[in-house]
Amino acid sequence: MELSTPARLRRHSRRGAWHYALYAWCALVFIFLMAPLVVVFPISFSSSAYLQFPPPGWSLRWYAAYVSDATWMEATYRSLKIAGATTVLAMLLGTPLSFSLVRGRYPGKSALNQVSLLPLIVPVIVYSIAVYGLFGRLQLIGAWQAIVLGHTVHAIPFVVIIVSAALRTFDIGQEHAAMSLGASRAMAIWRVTLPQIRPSLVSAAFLAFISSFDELVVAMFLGGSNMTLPKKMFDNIVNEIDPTIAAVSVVQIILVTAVLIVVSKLGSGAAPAN
Amino acid sequence: MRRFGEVTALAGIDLAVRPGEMLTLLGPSGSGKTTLLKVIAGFEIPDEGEVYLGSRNVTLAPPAKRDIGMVFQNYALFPHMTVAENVAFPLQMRKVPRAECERRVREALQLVDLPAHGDRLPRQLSGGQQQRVALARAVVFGPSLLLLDEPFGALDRKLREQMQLEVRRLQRRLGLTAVFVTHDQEEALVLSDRIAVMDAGRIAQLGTPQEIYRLPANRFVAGFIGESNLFRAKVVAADSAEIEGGTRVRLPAGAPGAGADIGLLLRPERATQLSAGEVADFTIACKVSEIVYLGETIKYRLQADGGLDVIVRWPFRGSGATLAVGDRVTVGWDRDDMHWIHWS
Repeated sequence: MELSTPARLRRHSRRGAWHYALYAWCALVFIFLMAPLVVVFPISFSSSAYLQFPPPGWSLRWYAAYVSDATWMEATYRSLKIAGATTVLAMLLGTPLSFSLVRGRYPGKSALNQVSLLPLIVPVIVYSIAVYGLFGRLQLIGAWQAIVLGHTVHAIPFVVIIVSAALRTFDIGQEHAAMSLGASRAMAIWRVTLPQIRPSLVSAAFLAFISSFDELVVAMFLGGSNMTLPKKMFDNIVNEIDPTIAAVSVVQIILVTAVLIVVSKLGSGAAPAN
Repeated sequence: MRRFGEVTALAGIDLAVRPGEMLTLLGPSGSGKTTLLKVIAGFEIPDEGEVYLGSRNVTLAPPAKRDIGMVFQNYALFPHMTVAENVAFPLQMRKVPRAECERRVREALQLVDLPAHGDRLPRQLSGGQQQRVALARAVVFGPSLLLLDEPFGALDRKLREQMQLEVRRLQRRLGLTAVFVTHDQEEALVLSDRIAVMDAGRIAQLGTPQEIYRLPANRFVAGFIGESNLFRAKVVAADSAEIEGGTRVRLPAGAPGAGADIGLLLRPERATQLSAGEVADFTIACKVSEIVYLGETIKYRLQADGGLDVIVRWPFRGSGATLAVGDRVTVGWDRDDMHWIHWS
């Protein structure tokens, strides 16, 4: 005991040092991630016509400029529509694909698995040019539906990765139980499996949404004159750079945060009924 | 018959469950008992053979269309539904009207002694309570067959014994026909009307617990159920055999003719300690080589003078002289205490 006490104390203090190092590291990461916001938020309320930090005075004029400009509003609306449609499509395709990849027994399954993740590996610019060529021939350039298709391909890997992981740890006995109790396989999946992997489904949907809402390159190639929000922001920075961009950024951040909050509410596990 | 690639998991199973009986599939892991249960439940389609439920051929029917209630090894309660919702699930799948559904859920929960737990979630219940909910869910829709897949494995010993009796009571009360899978022989002996001992995808023996224990049909069953002394012997005359090592024994009635290779089975509790002057059909002088205290009984490993190893088990009354290692003792048994089986 007498011998072990100092050793234990030493171990304690060493762990303490590690703890502080970890705190410091986390603080650095936090600052690194948050610093842009600290700049963007004040600038969006600036009274100046230039991107100037710290702002010389305060106003809401850039928010007014954003809201009153039809092209900004159209771009925002278009982006939301595209991201929403992409999410639905990617979930409808990706979820059954995940079931097939996790549960199925058929030749070529691992190849299919690789293919489904390919969009993450192929450089976006290469992919965009290829899709541009294809959709150009089909005269789809400028149609919002074309961007949805382009984004869906990119969103599917997120859905497949997350939903497959959830299905792999899901106890198939649950589904068997439901079936032995009189449920068809589809009903068992609908009533028993999907509700239990809901947190993963919600996360997958969120990532699919963000991957589209934030996407610039594909939208640039396929959008034509119908700009998405990222494309409009890009043009604004290139052409006229004024604090509207900061106001739009803040709106975008708030929007995504709101979605994230909804997601974490929906995504928490089954809550007690009472 | 059910094959998985090269492995034949089930072969030549011919089993008829009688109405209202509790039939146990007992066997070590890999013996095919779980596969057989899956075939009955409809999760596996047999490569050959047929499954009948009453007069209905259900070989190819999906699980949902079989009307079989099943209690799973880990209960498989739906964690996102309350207890009542869990129990209501099979009724909803059968489109039972709401009011009747509620009534039957209430009755089922009453039946398993959890009338006030309907609003809880499964994870808020103890293991034994979850087990009861699983049972209520499996019987609430009045299935024609109840399957139990090692349902007591996760419970501690005391609770397990209590649940065994409860399941048995419930099964009797509802007149349910049930098939129960376990690798625990004690459990099988307690619970079953009949036991099918399984080995390598076949039924090694089918019989009542008593038959299985007293009159095992072959070496596998003899070795798997209970503890036993199994002596390899050769029949040398009409009623006597020679155990390996040269000891001669008189055979129980009905033994095969001279030249046959047989095993002689003696349960440890059937041999008695003989004091001077007492006689038995067969007596043997031994030395105690090992003692294992088991609570209500003591197990002795005895080394016979002829070289034979004999295990005996006698009740321990807490008083009186007990034997010590190295003590000499004479044990004996009558020839009806022995049961013969074919060696091969």
